[in-house]
Amino acid sequence: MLARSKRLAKVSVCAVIVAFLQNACSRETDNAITSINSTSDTNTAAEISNEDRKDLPSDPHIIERGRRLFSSCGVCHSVNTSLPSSAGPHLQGVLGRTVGSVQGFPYTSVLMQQNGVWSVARLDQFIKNPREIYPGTSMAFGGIADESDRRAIIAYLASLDTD
Amino acid sequence: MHKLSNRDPLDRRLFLKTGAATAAGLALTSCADENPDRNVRDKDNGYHVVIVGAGFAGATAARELAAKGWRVIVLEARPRVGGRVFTSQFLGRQIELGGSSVHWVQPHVFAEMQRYGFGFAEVPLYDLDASYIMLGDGTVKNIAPSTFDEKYTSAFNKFCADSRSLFPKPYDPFFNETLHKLESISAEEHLLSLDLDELQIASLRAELTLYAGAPISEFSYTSFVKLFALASWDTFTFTDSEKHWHIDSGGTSALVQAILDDSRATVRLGAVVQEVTDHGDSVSIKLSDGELVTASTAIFTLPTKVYPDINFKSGLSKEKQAFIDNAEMSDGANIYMRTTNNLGNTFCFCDDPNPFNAVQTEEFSDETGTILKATLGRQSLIDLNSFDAVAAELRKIHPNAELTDVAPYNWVTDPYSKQAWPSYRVGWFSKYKDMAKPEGQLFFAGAATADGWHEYIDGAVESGIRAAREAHLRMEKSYAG
Repeated sequence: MLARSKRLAKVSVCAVIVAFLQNACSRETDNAITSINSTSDTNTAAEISNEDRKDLPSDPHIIERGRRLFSSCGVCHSVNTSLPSSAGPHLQGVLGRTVGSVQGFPYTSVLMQQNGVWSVARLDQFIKNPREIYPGTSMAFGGIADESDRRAIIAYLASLDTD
Repeated sequence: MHKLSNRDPLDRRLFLKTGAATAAGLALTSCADENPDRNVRDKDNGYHVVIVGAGFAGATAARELAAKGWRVIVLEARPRVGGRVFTSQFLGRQIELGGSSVHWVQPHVFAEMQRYGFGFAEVPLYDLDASYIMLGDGTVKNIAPSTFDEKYTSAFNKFCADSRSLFPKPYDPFFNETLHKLESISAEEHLLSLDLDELQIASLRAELTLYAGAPISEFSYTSFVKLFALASWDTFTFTDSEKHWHIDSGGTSALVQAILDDSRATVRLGAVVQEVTDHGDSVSIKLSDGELVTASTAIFTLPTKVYPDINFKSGLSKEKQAFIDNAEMSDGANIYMRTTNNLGNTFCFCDDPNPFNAVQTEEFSDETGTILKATLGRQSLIDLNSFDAVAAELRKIHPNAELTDVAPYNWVTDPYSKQAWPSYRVGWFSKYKDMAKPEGQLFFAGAATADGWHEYIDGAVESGIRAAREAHLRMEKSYAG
């Protein structure tokens, strides 16, 4: 039998949950992105979604190109909640969704602390350079430099909402 | 202070149904997973061991320690388990974006496959329709597969000719003390000392660049030859072990998950470790969201280049810090590609500084076209997220390739790996034991610390078993004292 004389180090997971919830409830917008996302933060998800969609390409060829380019993203992200999303939150209906809000997904604290909504502009900046807009994100992706490629991917994601 | 309780399984399911759909779903799940069927040594619900990293090393260590009754929590920064293995889907197919190949000459991972009922999935490496060697200047030579095989095997045998005398006991790599005298020899220096023709040098340099993850003038010659010794000093077996067999039925990620499931350890995803304090009789780990996790001991299984991102309050030994700062260099990545046209069963080695060091057919048919996998030792030579750049590179080898889909994974831009597979810089092979050495209540695993297959999954499993043994002995002594 093991002696019990020495203090056993402890952590209470339930206490951790309390701290976790408290932390989640007192979210603060990251200063680094406040300025570039102020509009997105004040508009409703529906307003952003509708406003943004007007400017996205609707050419089927561009959307098809976006679908093919999305295969890079697809190794981590599903676009259908009924399919497994192996290393990222699902992206069904991502436009207009609150950042860091897919229930049950283990976001790092950086995304958990955001209040903004995924607008076209914010998605574009994130796909361009994830760690510039959200330093500390766990997304293992260096970013897409080509603007037209990014637009095609976002147009593809938007097209899924109207299918 | 709240304490965990070992609820019965029905209670846990109910708890999950009602509670998991909250922002704290994952943490709640962690409660539910808590070790219900083990003969847990201590009933007052603290953790004995915190393991940082849920790759093969961390999962194995968790399983080993939990099996001995220690209460274990695993912290993983990523939103998934597996570390530098990652099984995903590409056009409906199972793909391996990180460590992939396994073999029965790799004893630790093979034992895990046997334990959990995994078999081998074959990659069509042999019976090639065509083989190519791209020279350093980008010129592509179409070589008959039989000639390719003959030239490469001959070159490889020459490169590794001293393997048996250098490594008579591969798991005790410095058993032959003359090895220390060879520490300063690079793979490039050794390669160019051999009597090889242009195609042999190009193909072998491509292979070595893959392992180095850097120009091979920086790569430890002897560390590579050790891997050859582990494959029974045999070229066919070595190639078969590195490029021919994957894990079936869910792949590497499913095997890691099976090990973790068996451990019944608490697993926390999205848990980014920021600071570590060794109190002498316990260890505190502060996460990025401010949470504090405390246990008696801690095992770190991180890729070497990630250690600088963690503040070890008491510091690390200067030897370990030197290893972290200097020993590793892997700049690697993988990419899957699909072409609409059937290119057949092909293999290509591309000499440095071409970015795709090896391009291998994984599947081919008139209906599918071709699924190719390229492995890069130096991802910084190309923007893998540029479809056009990838297409242009592939067309250098296959000019008529009609590329439609790509799926890259860049291990260097992954903030929780910052490097691909372990590889030792010239002069640093013998220092791997510094990285493995325990410090206070802290223990260290990870493939880079393995005696055996250090660039492989097998090395990660080996290191997890070793670190778990060390932590177990320490805790046994501590609790008995």
